[in-house]
Amino acid sequence: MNKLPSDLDAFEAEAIKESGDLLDSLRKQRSDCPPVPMLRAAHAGVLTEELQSAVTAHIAGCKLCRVLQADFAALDSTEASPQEVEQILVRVRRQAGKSDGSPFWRFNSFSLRTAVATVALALGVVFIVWEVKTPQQSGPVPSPVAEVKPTPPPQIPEAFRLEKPAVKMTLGVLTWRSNKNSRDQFLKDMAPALEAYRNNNFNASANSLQTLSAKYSESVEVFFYLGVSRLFLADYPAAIKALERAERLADDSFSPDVLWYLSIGCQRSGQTERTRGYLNQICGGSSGYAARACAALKEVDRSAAAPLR
Amino acid sequence: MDRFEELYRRHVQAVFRFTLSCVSRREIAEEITSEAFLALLRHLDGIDPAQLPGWLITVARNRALDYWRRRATEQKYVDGWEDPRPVEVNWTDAFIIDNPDLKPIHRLCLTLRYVEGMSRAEIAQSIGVSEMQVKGHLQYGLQLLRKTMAEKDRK
Repeated sequence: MNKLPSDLDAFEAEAIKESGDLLDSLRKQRSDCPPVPMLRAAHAGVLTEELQSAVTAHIAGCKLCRVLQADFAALDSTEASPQEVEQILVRVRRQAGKSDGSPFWRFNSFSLRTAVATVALALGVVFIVWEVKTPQQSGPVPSPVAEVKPTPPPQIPEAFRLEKPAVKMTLGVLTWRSNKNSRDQFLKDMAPALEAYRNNNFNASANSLQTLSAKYSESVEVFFYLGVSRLFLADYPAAIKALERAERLADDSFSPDVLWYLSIGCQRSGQTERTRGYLNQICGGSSGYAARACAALKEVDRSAAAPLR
Repeated sequence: MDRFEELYRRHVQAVFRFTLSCVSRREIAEEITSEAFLALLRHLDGIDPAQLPGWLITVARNRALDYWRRRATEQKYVDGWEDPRPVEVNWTDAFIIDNPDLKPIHRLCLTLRYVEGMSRAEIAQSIGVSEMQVKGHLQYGLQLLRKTMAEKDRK
């Protein structure tokens, strides 16, 4: 059965107490139901045949799931943010430059146009990585339906999916800074950057954190969230540089996070041996990343045998 | 702005919205949306703009199908779903499901937080609003819950 979130405030805790067994009952009921993402996927009709029919059969007899599914379908707030729109465009341009064998001048022109667009929108700076080009694909234009079979391999292995880590602070924030005023100033300085980060505005968070990195050159938080923001902007060299600095500053509470995101940066930059090194460290440990790191190691070994396209 | 970018800006929201509904995770929706537009860029000369955004959504749908195929382990849950457990408190429907004062956005916030156990940040990500808005929706929902409980106690 799902648990209540651990960050309940006083108002929530009191209201839940007053609600008696209402929410307990709902949690108990939902524990036998398909997870929310699956309800949404069933509505879009993108589950495997077996899952689709199982979810459909369940929904037919479960009013709560039916209502949840309908509520999600009625949401009008699920558009991409302006930052996400620019990030997707950067990603498309970068992948196109990487794999279509286009001449240098064309790639460069794409990068400049994209960077200008992003700067204009977010008042930030986008660094675009120029990576090794692979041979051009050729052939007739496929219909999208024809692309279902055979299933193309994912360009990034599932184990290396980039997921945004939640914001946290080291105990060091409370102890290593000399007095309360300087600690409060640090948190005040960090607030806009972390707010941008929470809202997925990675251009803004990267720019703010880059500026703060001069003032707080010993802060693991600054370099870690700077590195992660750079990863989301697909600026891998800058991400790795920031995360390497974070690695030197990290205490036990941050070390697994830093190593995991370093491994992602190295994997996306094609640095297989470094990736393997970081993953070995995490996989052998007991952090929350251990299982994913072990799975990612298998992906790395598999791709070494047959390079990923 | 070149032809591709013009098409991109015209259709990106439709593709992203559809993809997010398929996978529920913004970073994966971004990835799949970019793959759909990359396919468009590669075949730009052979695509009739009248086919858009349908063509793009079909590509995105196929990628979403791949995503769910790769998550085959989820199928272990299938056996327990077909026979939903009855709601044990008969007034849950009245409060959560059929309550006319509770809009879908409030119900989603309440359910995701107090039934699914998600943080406010996760909910904000999931439904595309700010954490402050999530907090507001939760406060409204909880106030309504307290009011309902008080009325129930009076009866």
